[in-house]
Amino acid sequence: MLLKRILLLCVIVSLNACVSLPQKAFNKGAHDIKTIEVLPMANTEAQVSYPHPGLNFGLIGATVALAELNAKGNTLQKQLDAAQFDQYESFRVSFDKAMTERGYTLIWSDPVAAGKKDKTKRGAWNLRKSAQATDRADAQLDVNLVFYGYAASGAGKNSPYRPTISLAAQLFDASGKKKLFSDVVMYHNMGGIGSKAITIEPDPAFSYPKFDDVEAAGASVADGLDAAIRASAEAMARQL
Amino acid sequence: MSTLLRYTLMLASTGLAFAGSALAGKSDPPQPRCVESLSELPLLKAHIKGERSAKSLPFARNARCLRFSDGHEEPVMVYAVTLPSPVQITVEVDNRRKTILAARIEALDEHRELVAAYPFDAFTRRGGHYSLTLFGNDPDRPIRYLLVRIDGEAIGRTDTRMVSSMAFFPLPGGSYNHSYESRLISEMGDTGWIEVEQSALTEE
Repeated sequence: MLLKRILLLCVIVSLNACVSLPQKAFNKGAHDIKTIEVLPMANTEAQVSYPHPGLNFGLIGATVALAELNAKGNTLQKQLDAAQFDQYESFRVSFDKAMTERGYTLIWSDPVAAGKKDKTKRGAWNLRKSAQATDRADAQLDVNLVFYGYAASGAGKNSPYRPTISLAAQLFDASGKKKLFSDVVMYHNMGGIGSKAITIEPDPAFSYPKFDDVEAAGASVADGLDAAIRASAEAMARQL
Repeated sequence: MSTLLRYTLMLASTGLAFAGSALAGKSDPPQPRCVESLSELPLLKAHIKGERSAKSLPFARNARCLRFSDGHEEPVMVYAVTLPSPVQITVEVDNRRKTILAARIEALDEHRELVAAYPFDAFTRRGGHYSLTLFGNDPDRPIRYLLVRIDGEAIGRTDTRMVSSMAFFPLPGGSYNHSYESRLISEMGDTGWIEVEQSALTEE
């Protein structure tokens, strides 16, 4: 769990230094793909991230920082539970609409996301290490929320918490052997100028100077995340 | 105003004038005669992936004036695509000095006829730059040239990016890093840098 948290911090705070970005453009004209099976998404819980000052003070400081971020993530998750916000359903509705407009028919798994005890082997971007063959569709899409929650670029009140999403996807052919596409969308990208991820600026309407303000916002924090997921889903669909 | 102060201001203004002219010399497009045909324009070779490192070129210094059939003139760049179909072509527009080239890309065949056109809106925003990936799949009508024009629709738009900046405070035995949110505001215009890369597709 600690390793997972550290990896998430790496992804959100200093993307380029930690993991390489999966990026392969889709050659739409070379493939006759009409129907796509969407594989069960990875189970992702709400997270809170910011460059905690404790990260300056070695392992002990990092442990304190991770414990605090974990607690804030749990608080955010409770707020979202209270709002009955379903991040997978938000994504499914937006992505399905965007892909239908592009001429695709999507076949979704039921439920859309895997459970917490899912044993699927995944890499750094929550992407599957392999896919099985399918006869239900022309291709199969592995799409996952990597980071989903609120993040701030700094520790002060001039660096507000904003809805933050990392969405990674890869498209396999029906045999599961050939990867046709992969890319990452980052909504509220704090990774800096070198990042090659598709980047979307956060909606300024959803901005909280301190975490206390996030808490005080109650269930309405779901609105910012819903907007972020919708924009990210549409951006990913445009690549296909 | 004292004489010393007056001289200081004169020197400062002269320095600014020199700096301004140097910048203008770097960014203003050259004005050679306008040509009537694409074939008269100098060809830039699209970088082949895997060969050396790709090179960004400033549009203003590499563009030449082309007179179109309707009589209007505009600066353009022409890249030669040398790989056979199927080929992947990636165009990247950098964000330098708060300027982003509002590029419009036209893929042309061997007769310099239009195969496909991509306005600036077809580019994808990726971190600090914009990129466009296009494919030439038709072996009977391969893409041979890429015409880079300015997309008038995109000129004047701004791009605002929120990024995490970091300040370092030295401490005995290390440093304290303080991150904070900052904004980068850039404008899309008719100057800026562009890079074109081609790569062969063998598995498609």
